[in-house]
Amino acid sequence: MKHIIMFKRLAKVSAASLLLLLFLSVLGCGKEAKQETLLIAGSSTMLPYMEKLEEGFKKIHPNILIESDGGGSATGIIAVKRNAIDLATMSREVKREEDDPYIKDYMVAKDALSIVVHPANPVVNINKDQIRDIFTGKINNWRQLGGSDAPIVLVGRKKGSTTRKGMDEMVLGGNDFAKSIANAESATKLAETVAANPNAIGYLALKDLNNSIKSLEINGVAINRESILSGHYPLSRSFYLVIYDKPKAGIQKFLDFVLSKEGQAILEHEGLIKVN
Amino acid sequence: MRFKDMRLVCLVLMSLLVLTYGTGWSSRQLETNNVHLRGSSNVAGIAQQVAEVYMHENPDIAVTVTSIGTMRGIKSLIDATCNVAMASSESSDEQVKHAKDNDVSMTKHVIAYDALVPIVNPSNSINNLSIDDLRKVFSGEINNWEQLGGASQPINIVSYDGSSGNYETWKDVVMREGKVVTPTAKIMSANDMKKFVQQNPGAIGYVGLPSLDNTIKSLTVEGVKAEASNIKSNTYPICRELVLYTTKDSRESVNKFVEYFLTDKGQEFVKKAGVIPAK
Repeated sequence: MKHIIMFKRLAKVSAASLLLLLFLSVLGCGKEAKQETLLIAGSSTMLPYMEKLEEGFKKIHPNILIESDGGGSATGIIAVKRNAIDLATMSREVKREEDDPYIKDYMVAKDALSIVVHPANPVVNINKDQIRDIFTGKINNWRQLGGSDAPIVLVGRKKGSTTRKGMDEMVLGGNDFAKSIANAESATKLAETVAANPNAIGYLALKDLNNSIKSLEINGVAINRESILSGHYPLSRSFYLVIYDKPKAGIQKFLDFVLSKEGQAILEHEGLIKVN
Repeated sequence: MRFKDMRLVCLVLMSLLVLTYGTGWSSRQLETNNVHLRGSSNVAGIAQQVAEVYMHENPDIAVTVTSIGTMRGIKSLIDATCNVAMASSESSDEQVKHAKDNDVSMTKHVIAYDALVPIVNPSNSINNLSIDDLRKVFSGEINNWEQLGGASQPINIVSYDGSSGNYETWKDVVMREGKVVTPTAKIMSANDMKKFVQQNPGAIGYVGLPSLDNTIKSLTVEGVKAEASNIKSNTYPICRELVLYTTKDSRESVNKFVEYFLTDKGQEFVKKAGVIPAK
């Protein structure tokens, strides 16, 4: 009898201590659940992609608030080093003079542009300088590129398009697009316009390519998933998330999310090439 | 009562289990089959070719290759921001210390042998220099080709930045004994160096085997030509290994990619790049 009472008591005590444990762990979670704000800044090119990632992240971690801004890759890395922000975004590699032992840069995606023409166009390959000269209007006849004697018809995208921004940054290098360029509403419209005009040239993301148009090789390299990931295709770049020293718990969660299947799928859907 | 208690205990235990599982989940998501390489541009050129063929054969795997110099590649491996470091020189003491501090032990895979070759303008009459001559030239002690039996022409030195494996090897083999490359040297990439040497009659630089062509003149060192037999036998004085580093605990998919480099197919790319295959 005494034993049974003892046992009952023991069971009560252990139940109580386990309850306490549970309470404590809930309290611990409560600490995490308390609103945490993460500041992210850097590449303005990456801003629209970051917004999509934040939408997805919010669904899983509703208590982590993210405030993100542009400012440029160079400003971003200075800010993260000075602890003014929690995470920097960069649309290029960290430079040697920016690097130090506390910087960790995670590649999160690749970005690439395809230069597209009509399938009947005899031109197969061009170089980066020629692309710049074509889109600024300096080269305006296909004959100058070894094609037929016909004027080059430029097709672009409206302001705010990420591919247009990519052309600006990876090809034009501060020069303006030629005034004669016709800007399409969407990637689909651009593809349709180029497919309908044997003298047209335009630019598209890898995901928007189809058989009605032809991608040009650049410096002899064809665009495909392999040549973009290997870094061989010239019209491509890498996107990075950069942390400094020991980041907040929320930042680790955000990084994990961006590199997860789900995060990578969001970036792929937006036209980038996933790396993880 | 006892039964109820037991039920409560079970419930509590189950919730605890769920809680622990919940926190461990996110880090496991990062374990993928993908391979990220960073480091020496001398290795990156070969790695890109191998990566493309490998991805073609394994379409579910992403292999990225980023050229940022040997030292930063090793730093990245230690930080676990990449899985494979590409190196064209021995890792520096600083990097080895960094690895130890982080409990990282690295495995070395030699994929090829290479040499560093002094290059001059094709109009230069000099054909051979000793290691001593090279040290005196690159430290600024000798500053006119006349002092080496050439034309009266000031010497323009071109070198690489400190994170480059080329520089690291040059420092170890040529400069030695505390001598450094003169601060007046122009710092550039191998491609720009070739262009500069091609255009400047007084210029001297140094490149790896893959960069040699007839736009520039390569010199023999200590009377030995940088060719396969002399590099394999180590008679050419400025030899080095091209290396892939992995960590001891690297994933199966990473090891598989590195092994692919040493297959006949992988070594074909090494040969094509103009360096000497390891196998």
